[in-house]
Amino acid sequence: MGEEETSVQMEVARETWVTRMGFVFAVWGSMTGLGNVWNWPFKVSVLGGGPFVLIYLVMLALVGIPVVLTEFVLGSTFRRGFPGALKRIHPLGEFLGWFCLVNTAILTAFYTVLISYAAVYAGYAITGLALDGPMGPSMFTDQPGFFVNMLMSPVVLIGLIVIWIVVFMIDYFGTRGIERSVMILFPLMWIIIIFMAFFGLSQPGAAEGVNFYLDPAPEEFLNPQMWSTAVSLSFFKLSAGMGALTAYASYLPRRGEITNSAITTSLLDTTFAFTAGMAVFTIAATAGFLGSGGVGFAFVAWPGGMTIPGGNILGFVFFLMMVFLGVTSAISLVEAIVTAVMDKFGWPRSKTVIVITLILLLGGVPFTLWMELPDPAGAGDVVWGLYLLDIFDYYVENFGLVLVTLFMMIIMGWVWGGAKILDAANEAGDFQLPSWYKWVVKVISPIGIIIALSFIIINGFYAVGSIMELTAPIIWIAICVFLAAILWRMKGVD
Amino acid sequence: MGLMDILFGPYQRFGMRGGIVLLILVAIVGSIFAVWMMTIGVEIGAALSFILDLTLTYGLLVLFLYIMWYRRPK
Repeated sequence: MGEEETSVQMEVARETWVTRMGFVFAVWGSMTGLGNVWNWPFKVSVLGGGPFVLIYLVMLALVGIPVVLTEFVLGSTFRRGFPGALKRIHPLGEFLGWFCLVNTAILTAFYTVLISYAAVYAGYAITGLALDGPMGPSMFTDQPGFFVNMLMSPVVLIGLIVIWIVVFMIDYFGTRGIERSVMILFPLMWIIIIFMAFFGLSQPGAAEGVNFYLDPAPEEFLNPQMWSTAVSLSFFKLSAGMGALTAYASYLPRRGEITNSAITTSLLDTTFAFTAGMAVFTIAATAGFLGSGGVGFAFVAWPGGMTIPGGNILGFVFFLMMVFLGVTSAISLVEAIVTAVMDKFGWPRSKTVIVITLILLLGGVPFTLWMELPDPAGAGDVVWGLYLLDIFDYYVENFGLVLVTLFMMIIMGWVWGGAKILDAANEAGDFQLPSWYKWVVKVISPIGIIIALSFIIINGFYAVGSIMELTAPIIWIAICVFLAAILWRMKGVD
Repeated sequence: MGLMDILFGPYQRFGMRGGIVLLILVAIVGSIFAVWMMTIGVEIGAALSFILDLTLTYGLLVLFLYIMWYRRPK
């Protein structure tokens, strides 16, 4: 009875989003991260050009949006974070929920380090200062000297602390803090990316950049890699399997709309990535560094090309936008964990945010380590922080997120019921989803996730060349299972 | 009056179909832009892809935003 009362009190006291757009912008902020700039546009350019977007959107409708919708239904129906909501469907669901959030915690720990990289670049771009290190004093345009100096300097740790202070201040105020911050950052990021796209289109290399980005390559449509990438991108890009969408949806008012919100946020994310491609490729072509994407593009190729007139300002604006993109995603990841802990233990938000922030900040420190480590392959020395980040990123994203999303879809679609998902979505939807859509949620979307997982396995595991590379997956799975089991068995108030 | 009222208000006369009208408008604007891009050297394949992608991203986005605005509690 006592527990029931506590649960009812939590329900009554639960904060909610003030406006619907606040929720939509917050979800968009969560979905749209650094990969929108350095990953998605490059996949488009390599995997068929412009028509790839059509394939991607079809996969989004069949795989990605059903996942988003399911997470929204989970959060809004049970009004709990990921573990608390899944617990109400099946007792083992809570274990999956905590496994997900421990995985999310590791992801947040190294993701904030990447945001710190962007913050360091923005700082050095606008001040024009040189960073001293093993490669000698380097401006941010002196690449890869600046990047190496940064990795081998404590400046990343300082940046990490600053990023965590910002994230803490936003999450401390709950949905109000998140809503206010995204209401400012959302238009700001759009202004920056549209400005950069128009600036890029006004440059001499614009045509070359657009051709590189969008020129169709029909032969790619026979490439299985293109289809598997479209499938995996369609849910990787949408913050699925992190518990963030469930946490955000748990703060919706009763009968809050979710169907159109799931579609609109997914389209906002795709539209931003498409615009980012227009900006990045036209400027990159003008500066003469069209090539492959990834961390190397953002932190080596892009700043290296910023020797063009106005490069310092352009570099600053670009990295500032990266910081905003990263922070809006990071606050959602922290909120996923904070919501679950508050629900389970009944802690006040202030205490929860302080504890979680400190744990995640400390968890991120190993990913900033600036000491050199002899390369196991003998090709040259590597830096500890980036080395650890690279290994953990592989397992957390490729296996952690995919497995959590797959199991969540199975629990929701088959244990709880696809028809119930549809009913919950249609209850207050802007429009009604047809009854057959439940088969998309129950069958097609999970099959898409299994296909993505199969291709990850077929493409080969992380090359094991050292004891760290051998033990990292064991450490990762041990941390996730051990901590998830402890949190699952701990007595709470919910 | 919010930004969405200014943007979507004129299409209210079309009811729920206002979103389709906006989608077509985006495609038209994209086509004009693509023609301009061809004048600076963008190949026809890339220009057509641009129209397709702009319509599928911005066009569908405004369509669903319009529905959101149209269905708002009044």
